[in-house]
Amino acid sequence: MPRKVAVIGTGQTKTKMRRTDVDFPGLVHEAVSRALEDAGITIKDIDAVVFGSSPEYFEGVNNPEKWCLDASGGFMKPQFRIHTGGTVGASTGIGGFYHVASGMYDIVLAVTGDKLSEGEVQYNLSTVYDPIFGRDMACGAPSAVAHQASRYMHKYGVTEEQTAVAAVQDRKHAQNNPYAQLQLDITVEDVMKSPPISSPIKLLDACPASDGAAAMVFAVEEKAEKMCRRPAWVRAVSAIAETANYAYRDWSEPIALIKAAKKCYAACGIDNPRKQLDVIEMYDAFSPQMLIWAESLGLCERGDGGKFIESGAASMEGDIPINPSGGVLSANTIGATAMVRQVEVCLQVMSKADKRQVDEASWGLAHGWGGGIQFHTVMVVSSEKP
Amino acid sequence: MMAEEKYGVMKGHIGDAPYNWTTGKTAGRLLQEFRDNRKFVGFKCPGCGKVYFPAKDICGECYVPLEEEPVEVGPEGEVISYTIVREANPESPAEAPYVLGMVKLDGADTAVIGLLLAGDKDVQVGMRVKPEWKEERMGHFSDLEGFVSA
Amino acid sequence: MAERVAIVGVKEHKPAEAYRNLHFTSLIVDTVMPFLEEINMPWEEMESLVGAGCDMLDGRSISSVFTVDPMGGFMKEESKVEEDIALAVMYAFMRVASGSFKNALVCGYGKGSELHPHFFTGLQSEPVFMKPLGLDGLTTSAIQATAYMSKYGVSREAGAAMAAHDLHNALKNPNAQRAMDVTVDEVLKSKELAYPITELEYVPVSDGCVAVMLASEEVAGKYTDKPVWIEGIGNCNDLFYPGHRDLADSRGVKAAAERAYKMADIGASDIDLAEVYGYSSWQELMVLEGMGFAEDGAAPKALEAGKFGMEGELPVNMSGGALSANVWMACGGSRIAECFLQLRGEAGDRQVDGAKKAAAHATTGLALQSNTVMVLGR
Repeated sequence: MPRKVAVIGTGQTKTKMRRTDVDFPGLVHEAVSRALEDAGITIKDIDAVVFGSSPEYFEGVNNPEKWCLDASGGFMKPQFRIHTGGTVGASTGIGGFYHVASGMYDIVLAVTGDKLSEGEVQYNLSTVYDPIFGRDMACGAPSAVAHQASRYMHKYGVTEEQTAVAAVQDRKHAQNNPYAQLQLDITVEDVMKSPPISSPIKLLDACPASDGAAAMVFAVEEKAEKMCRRPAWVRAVSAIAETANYAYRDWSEPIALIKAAKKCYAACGIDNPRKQLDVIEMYDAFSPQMLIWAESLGLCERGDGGKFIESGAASMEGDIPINPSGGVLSANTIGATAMVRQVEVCLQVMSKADKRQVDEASWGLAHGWGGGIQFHTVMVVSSEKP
Repeated sequence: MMAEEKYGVMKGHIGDAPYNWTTGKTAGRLLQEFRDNRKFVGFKCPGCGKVYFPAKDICGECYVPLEEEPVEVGPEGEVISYTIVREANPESPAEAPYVLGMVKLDGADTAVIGLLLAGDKDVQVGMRVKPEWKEERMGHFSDLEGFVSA
Repeated sequence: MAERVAIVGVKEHKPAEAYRNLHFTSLIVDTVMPFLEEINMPWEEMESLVGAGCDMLDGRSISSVFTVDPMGGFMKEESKVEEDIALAVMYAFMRVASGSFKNALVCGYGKGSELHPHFFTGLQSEPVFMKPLGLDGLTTSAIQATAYMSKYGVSREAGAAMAAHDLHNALKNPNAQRAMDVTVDEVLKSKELAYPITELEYVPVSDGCVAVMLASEEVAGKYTDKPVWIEGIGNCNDLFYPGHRDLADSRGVKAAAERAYKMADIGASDIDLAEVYGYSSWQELMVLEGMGFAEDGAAPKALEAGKFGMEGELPVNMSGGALSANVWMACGGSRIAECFLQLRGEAGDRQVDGAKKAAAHATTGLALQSNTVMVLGR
């Protein structure tokens, strides 16, 4: 059995479209310093560092973890970089968990980030496509998710007005989150009238691009209990990969997410996630995805995502609040994004989420996706020790 | 390039992709001194007292931000290591052969790598060097043409 | 550790200067598919995957989008370490040691032939102080070699002797891409790339792939009757900018080795065989010192005295080391592969008698910034 591991501190930078006061290592330093302060420790207490960032093309420096070594606090410590595309933030948090669970290290820092304003994000994302087949007609992430959304909406008769509710809700939630980049007061009508990017996705259905970083401190049971009054126990993690392209792939049914969620639920004894979980943070880079992910996490029946979101169940007043932080639609650094989901559910179960706190939250789930909408991660955290 | 900005932004390319790299505070200030005063400034770590040149914002050993007030270093220094580059890469600053030297400027505790403008026959560890500046400077590392024998 | 972890199999695709007819995904398939068969592991039984690859080497963002499948990761627990495969092995070790998985495939690949060799390592330079000088793996290694010579009064011949040692050993390794009997003088007379480093003292560029299968003690016996145990792993990182550290000092290697030895509860003198990875023969000398096989500055003398030869006290780089083939992202895997074969008595003509403990080293970053040491035992 893995050793019991808890999160004892977290740190985030405010996300912004462009930070010119710091370079990429500076962003990393900011997040790490905050996480250490939150955990009440110094860099000397850290046994190892795990670094995560998205394609190194974003900052234009290969092995960015080497460049950021001084800033991440990895001097004379073990450190390596995880890179799994959009899930990297979550994969790095999961890496922090395994570092401690293995017995090799007791206190581990996981840090992720990206400074998207340094380069051309969508240009660089277009190089995900094969240089021989596809790159000539590639146009970044929105077009890929537009395919997914079209397929999903067609299959289940979900409307653009319904997906717009997710866009409105996230931006409303973001108003409670000081770290969010977009804190918009908008209506479904505003979303519908916003210019199309890649139909059915319109401007207000889409995430922004941000500069930002996030960090988490993981500790083994004995130390976590000594150092933290109410730690967030990592109850289950999973990171499943499916394939980018194959003939019978149904983009509206993310089999990797379904498997990852099932695995975590089984490990935690969850059979009714909507009832047993208190809060969800998910990686909804574009609003239709909130509906698809909610179905796949078992929060409603397959195809009922539209009705689910319209019912208000996922709002702060609902029975299963999704993205009290404002979600990815309110800030997307890519590198730190999936980690911010983990950080936010940790804050919730640690009762440290301030204005965005969900009452009496003790079980939370963080989700991430990446690659060709093929990598999915799930982490379940709880205030209850396993 | 960094004309009106408090901190530097450097433009560059990798392949066809354009970049606007932020230099960070200390490096931005350091490059400003290149442009305006043809001077080397280092930054001191409040922890270990080491004067960094070149400087980034953080002392990796003490994990604290460097002091904001710059410390003038150089302009002369000593070559502590070097190489004569005969096989260039596509990003090389000059046609091969050229000489890269690692120079510890007087008053600095760390060394900087720069072009050594001396001929490859003359270069040796321990030699004293001084900077040669470009006439037109724009707040870029290449404002420093290189080092010549002092 | 919750669980002991074994390496139950290693597969090294023969490296070559260029496999023009193989897409990187084909290179992976050609390695992983026969590998699973060799160790009798049905694909369904494989539980998890840690890949090692590099976007900037592949010339695409998130290249793992297309490598998870060929690595057999479809619908499995997966992660990717964007470092040399040695660090992916380290991460997979943690995942299995935690008791979360019974096995983990680790796969690293690279097609260095598709990119200018020094442009690739040069991409590690940061934009303000390094990119304007086009600093790369070669020039930083060369500045480091000069610093090492100057600090310890080591002669120009030392790096050449280490290169001749490696290239000679490579003659007995069927997977070597570059192998030859050369004298110190001939190494010195080969084309100078960046003083003091000549062509034969610097790593070549290779296309290739390495796969390693880890398994928990509980199931290891299912796949082999000769498991090789991972007894210790240590990694250490030094400061990034080369001028911020003493390049002639190998404190990072020292710390990594000390961690690995401590975990394995041994000392440097207990190691019977070592494989080290430097971008240049000069770095290899420094690594040997860092690993405790010679005093600082004394590795050239130990080499000259025959300590690191096949009949010596501590045979080093019997495979020919990275100078004989260098697949970026997989080179550390070749070092692990050689230790694995030697410990199992399967190293053919280059077999060292009775080796019980072996140490594999890998480096990443510029001028030995990051080092990983692994102690393996049978």
